Amino acid sequence: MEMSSERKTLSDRYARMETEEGLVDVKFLLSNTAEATTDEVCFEVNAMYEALDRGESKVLDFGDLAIH
Amino acid sequence: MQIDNPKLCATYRKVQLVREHMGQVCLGKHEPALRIMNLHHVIQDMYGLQIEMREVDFPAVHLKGKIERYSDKRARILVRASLSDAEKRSTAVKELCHLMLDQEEDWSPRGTDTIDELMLDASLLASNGVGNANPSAPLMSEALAILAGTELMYPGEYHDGDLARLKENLTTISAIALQHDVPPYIIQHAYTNKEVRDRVCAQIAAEMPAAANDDAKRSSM
Repeated sequence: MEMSSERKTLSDRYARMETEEGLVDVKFLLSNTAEATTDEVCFEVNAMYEALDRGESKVLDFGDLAIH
Repeated sequence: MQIDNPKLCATYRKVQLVREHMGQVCLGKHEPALRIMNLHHVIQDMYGLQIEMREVDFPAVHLKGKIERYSDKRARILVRASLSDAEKRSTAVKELCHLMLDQEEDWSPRGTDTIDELMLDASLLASNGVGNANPSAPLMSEALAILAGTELMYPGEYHDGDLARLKENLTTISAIALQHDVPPYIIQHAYTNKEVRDRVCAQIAAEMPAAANDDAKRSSM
């Protein structure tokens, strides 16, 4: 089966991250997987990276650190 | 998905060790709502990692978040910005659990293959009610991280009391979820997995504490 363009885009990105940045592992948290397709999920992961590339992200701090 | 007993024992033992460490280095009340930045701090400290967490603004229905681990001990957790606060918390915790649980054999940089496996497991679950009978290490790791995250956010010591109150209509799943600042389905998952969780924790308690400690430390290396 031919690889979809979304899957190929994502696969190429991970290959590049492995070679250039030392990526060793990637994991996902998905909802409603029974109602999702691989293409839809790859599309969303690509959209996440595109938003990151555009700078549409910020530090996630829950503000509840309390240490000695 | 069938998960083997040694993996389950190692998972719940690591959760215990992390909770003990939080008790030692963190101030104030640790519960009922888990302090996420305390967990972040303790996992960095125990596993020698540098963990960046970011929320990202992108449209999605299925993807809640993800984690990337790098060879130089950096990790990056990305969470969808449009999630509710409780969903952001549970997503961050599940991804942090990967850093606590995963061994090198559970790693894979080929994310599209992992997505394929997640999709296949969901399809099999819908058709046979069991899911993948022969899950790969990365796929099993996804299930274990969810179990560990559930135990951290809604520890087992709350279960029996809350279940008794639920039976007497003195509380609701939503009220319990609010108390622990988690989405309600996390509470439901905890009850669904209660039998397995209780059996594994009883087994851990019955073992020699020193041996269990050594085992968990070895498997965390």
